[in-house]
Amino acid sequence: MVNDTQSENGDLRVDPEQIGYAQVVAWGNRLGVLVMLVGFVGYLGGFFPAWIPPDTLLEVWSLPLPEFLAQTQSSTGWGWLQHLERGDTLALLGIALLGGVTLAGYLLLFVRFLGERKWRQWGMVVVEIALIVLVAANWIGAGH
Amino acid sequence: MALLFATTFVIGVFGVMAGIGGGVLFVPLVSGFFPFHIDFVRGAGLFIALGSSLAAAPYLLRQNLASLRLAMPVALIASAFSIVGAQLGLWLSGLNPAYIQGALGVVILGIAVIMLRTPSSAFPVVSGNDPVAKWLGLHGWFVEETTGERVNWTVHRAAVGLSGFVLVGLLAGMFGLGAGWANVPLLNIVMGAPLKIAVATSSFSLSITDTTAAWVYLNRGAVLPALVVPSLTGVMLGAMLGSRILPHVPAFMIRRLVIGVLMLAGARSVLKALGW
Repeated sequence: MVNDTQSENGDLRVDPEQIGYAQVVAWGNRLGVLVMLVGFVGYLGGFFPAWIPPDTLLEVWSLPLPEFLAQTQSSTGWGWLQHLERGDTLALLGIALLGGVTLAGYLLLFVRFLGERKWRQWGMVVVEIALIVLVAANWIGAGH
Repeated sequence: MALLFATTFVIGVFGVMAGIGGGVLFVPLVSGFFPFHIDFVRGAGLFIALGSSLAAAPYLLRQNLASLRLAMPVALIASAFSIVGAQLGLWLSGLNPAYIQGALGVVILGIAVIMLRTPSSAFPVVSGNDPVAKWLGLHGWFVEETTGERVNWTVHRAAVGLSGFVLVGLLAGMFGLGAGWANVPLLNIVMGAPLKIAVATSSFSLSITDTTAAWVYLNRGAVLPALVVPSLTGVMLGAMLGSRILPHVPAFMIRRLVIGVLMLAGARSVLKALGW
């Protein structure tokens, strides 16, 4: 029988890999949001130098992407990592950390499922990790 | 920027109360009524959906309302196709931003119609003999708060349901939308997951689905911190307020209101694409 309601509660332990994943997500999200906010407050408050000053940004944020990149001399890929002393770039690091939280969680699942020999779940984890790494490393999805 | 924060705060409040998250409201409203180029708005939309999902995921996973087992195949398919969608969206936008703006408008109008017409079922009747669901181990349990009892669940029509996430991923990547509006009907109506499991698993799986497409936009330079940070903060704070006042407002009316806003925003996108 499925989707049934049992009168007794039985075993109410959540799968340990799910709990571990939740912990990774919780801490990763906090870290990403913290770095993002520190960078952005420093950018707006003038505590950190800016890659694109707020006044300039108002003039370029409606431009098509290629023109925006040319006018602001912004780099694609991971080039921004060289300018972390700048507030807006530090905020971008926080945003990128949010984009890395799922990868961190999946690395935990990789180890857990491998240890438990849950090969189907492990296979899905491997493919998802490969997708995220390939796209984050700019090897797929890089375009022209 | 203060106006952007205020707008996204309101989006966060109503997104939670309507049960659709903020991304699907953010992209058409901000691209239609703010001066940002639509590429930046779509990039921000993905990070808003991602950030909101990450914030909700730990609680939902610990309560066993979001199912990691169910989310993994769903998100794997959607995230793979969200890369294709992101590429396609940026390519179309490069040809002419009006193409993507117009298509966004049509999709948003379609979402409003889906929200208006799609039923939901708290506990769908499931056959339990689906070979794909069995092979992938798509089953679990949760505790029904109103009764305190453990409810076991599984899904059926897994192959059909999972194939639907191809389209979900494409649209999420192409338009920067969170995809709760599509995830929940697929999980609940097509695959037969209980409504609570469908809503929570959808909310959690967005953090995986949107990660790959978000990296495409980030690597292309289409992520503006000045757009993402106030918007994400606004949506998150709004969602916190929305979840607190949710029990005290008629959810049906809020949902109708949000559908009306989606229709307006969709129409605005179409008109903007036509140069009006």
